[in-house]
Amino acid sequence: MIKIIVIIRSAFKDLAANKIRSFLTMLGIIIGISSVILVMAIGSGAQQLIVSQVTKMGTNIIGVLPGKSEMQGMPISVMGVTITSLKQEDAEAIANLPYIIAASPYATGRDTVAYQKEVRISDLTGVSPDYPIVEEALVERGYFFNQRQQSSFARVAVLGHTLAQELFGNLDPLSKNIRIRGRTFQVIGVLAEKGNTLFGKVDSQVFMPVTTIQKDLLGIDYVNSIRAKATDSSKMNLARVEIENLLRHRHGIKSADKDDFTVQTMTQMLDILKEVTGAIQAFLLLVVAISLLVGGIGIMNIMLATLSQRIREVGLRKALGAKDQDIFLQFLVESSLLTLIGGLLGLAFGVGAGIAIAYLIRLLTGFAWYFSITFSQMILAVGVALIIGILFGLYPAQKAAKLNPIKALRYE
Amino acid sequence: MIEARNLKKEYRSGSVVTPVLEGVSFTINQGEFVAIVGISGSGKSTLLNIIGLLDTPTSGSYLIDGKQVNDLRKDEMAHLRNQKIGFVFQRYNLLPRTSVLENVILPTLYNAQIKRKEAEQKAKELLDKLGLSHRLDNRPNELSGGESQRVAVARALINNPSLILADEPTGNLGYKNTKPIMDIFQKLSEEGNTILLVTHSKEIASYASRVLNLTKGVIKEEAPSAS
Repeated sequence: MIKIIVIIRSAFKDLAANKIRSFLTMLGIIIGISSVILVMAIGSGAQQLIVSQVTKMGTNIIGVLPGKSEMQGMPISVMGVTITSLKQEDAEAIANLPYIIAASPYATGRDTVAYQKEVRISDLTGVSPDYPIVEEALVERGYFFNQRQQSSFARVAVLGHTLAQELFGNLDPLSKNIRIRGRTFQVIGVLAEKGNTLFGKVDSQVFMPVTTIQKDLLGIDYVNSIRAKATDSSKMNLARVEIENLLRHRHGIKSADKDDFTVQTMTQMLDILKEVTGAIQAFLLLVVAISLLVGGIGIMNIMLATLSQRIREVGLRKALGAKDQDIFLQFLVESSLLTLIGGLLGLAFGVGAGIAIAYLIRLLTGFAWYFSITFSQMILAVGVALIIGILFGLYPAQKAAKLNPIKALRYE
Repeated sequence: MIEARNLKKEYRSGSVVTPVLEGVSFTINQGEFVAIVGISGSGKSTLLNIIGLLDTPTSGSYLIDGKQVNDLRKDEMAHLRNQKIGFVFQRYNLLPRTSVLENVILPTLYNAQIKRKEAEQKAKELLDKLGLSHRLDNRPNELSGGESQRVAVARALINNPSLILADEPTGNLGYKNTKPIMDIFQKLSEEGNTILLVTHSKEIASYASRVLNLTKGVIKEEAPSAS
């Protein structure tokens, strides 16, 4: 039995003697394994981000969307279909329920916002005076509009932190007039900086009474969604049932399967989001697996090509006393070493690229996105590479081991 | 000691049987230098493969150091090739991109009893004896034909074989390099090595102390021509 260290060393020498060929052969594995690392890291980075964002928003938030949800998923209104079943008055009724602290409707649009020469295109959000309570938003300067202003369709605006800075620079925005789609609005407040979240760039938005945006800017009588805050997170299900019963009563619905709305607690939404990211990750891993399969076929191809160049070497080694299994092991170690090194390089490259991507995402979007991969995931990725080398090296190694030494020695 | 008793080899292709060796018997004693001479088609290669344990005879028996070896399993044959036979090929068969020293050590990779340090030491001694101590780290493509064949001889000797089996060892060498190589075989013979030289050339065979003539699968002892 040939000594294993000797085989590994001679396999190393052989790969080193053909550096370019070895590298090109490894490339498929390098790309495959770095993709595995990236997919796993991005997947868990996204999930961590979602969890931290949702936790930051508060787990005692309940969302109401128009339209009945299909099975356990999202209602079709999420896909951009307009459903007009939710009204501002629904939000007011929800806010008065026992387990609810506050509730706000949301009606959204997007238009130009101008102060003198400064013009921006911004998200416009119509909400109720309950908004700062529901979203835990702090008013930095001025005040948030009140119930009287909402009832009177007042043209007043509260600006997000970033938008206020962009439009006014060092000037005090309070009491200044801005123009939104040609109409004049008075700035009455500026919100404290909140940072970007997955659910919108709050700092760049304009907030105004829901009644004003419906009548003056959107020309609609419905709202896009309602968000309510429950008294505490242990009462979530009670609060959800209350809201459902209330809306059925208000909308004249007799049975649950005729619902024209969907109520979801934050934890339910979190589960759905996790499921979605998990499914995307699984799909990407499948794609990566195919690329690794291609890489493995490349390894087998090269091992067969090297074998045809080394038939006489095999014959010689056998004449000098190599047993079939010695030759088998020699070729198998070579293909395994090839993919093991490829796997390690892919790991290094994947980790490097993952850290760079996470850094860029933080820099460009402001999301708290971090590169995250566990040690066992790394071991798994490199292990997969090694297994590919062994599996796709089996056939060439078997072929080499079975060569007849007499014929192999005479091979031209 | 090498002993062949009534070795026969035939090749079958469907119902056609082609006899190649038709009862070959000979004995080579410890320390003898024997040449087998035969033209191509005489069964020389087949006999060489059987003696070198690369092939098995159809019938007859073959003994090395008193042990019958004609009916061993493949792995046992590989083990005996490693331990008992030192091959010297016409085309040297050195591994390219591998140093002279590594080439000489190659058979010891398949020999569990010898440690790498000892193998290196032994290889250096052999290469020194063959006048190649300045070539240890060279690659085969940097060597002349004569040097290459001396490396191959060192490789054949590294496991202390019972038999050095040389197949046309000067076939690829010019006249100038032939004599030095044959002198080396004579010297090895004087040192007590058993050598079997296979050649088509009577002139090369004349370096041996005994000549066996193989014609159409039958062997005959020849009196060595006086050299």
